[in-house]
Amino acid sequence: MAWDGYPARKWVGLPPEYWVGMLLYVLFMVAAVSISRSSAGLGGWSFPVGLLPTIPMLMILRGYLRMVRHQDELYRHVQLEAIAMASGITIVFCFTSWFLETFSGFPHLSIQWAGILLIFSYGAAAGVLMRRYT
Amino acid sequence: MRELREANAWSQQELGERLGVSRQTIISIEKEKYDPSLPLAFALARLFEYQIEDVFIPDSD
Repeated sequence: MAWDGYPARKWVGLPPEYWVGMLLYVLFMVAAVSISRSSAGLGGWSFPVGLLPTIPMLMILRGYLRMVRHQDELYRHVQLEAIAMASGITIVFCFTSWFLETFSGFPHLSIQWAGILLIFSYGAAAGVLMRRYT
Repeated sequence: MRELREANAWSQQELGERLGVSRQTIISIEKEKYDPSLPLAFALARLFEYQIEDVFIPDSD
């Protein structure tokens, strides 16, 4: 291994497709909700309209993965720990919710809450870890 | 590592740029909150023209 070749990658911020994806996600979401609530109804278009926000979400995912691939080792270390913490929190939440729903009659929660919890706990964990390391 | 950097009159930002890592990584290594990978440790030692064991000492020593 050539030690003077370090690093192979350099830290960069979020790439443009991430922000474009975020903007398109909001626009597509508003469009999908507006169309679905219109009096005309969706007819045979309900499936494609329902999938509309998925396209920008894939752009966001690609942008995020590109960012992680180009980060330096400290940032990648933080990302790994944050993802591990967020995944653990989300799994505990999901199983606890399922137990309560099954055995205690708690109301059923939509799967979207798992995604929202994952994103927010990841953000919080990454912030806390970054402060810890610097 | 801080002493070596200051002896070269490099800022944390400048050292980070020379190594291709973020300023936060340099801060974290200097504060001994983060242990660099072996490639980064070698790159640091080579940049300062030292042997790696002259710059980084294992905790057990």
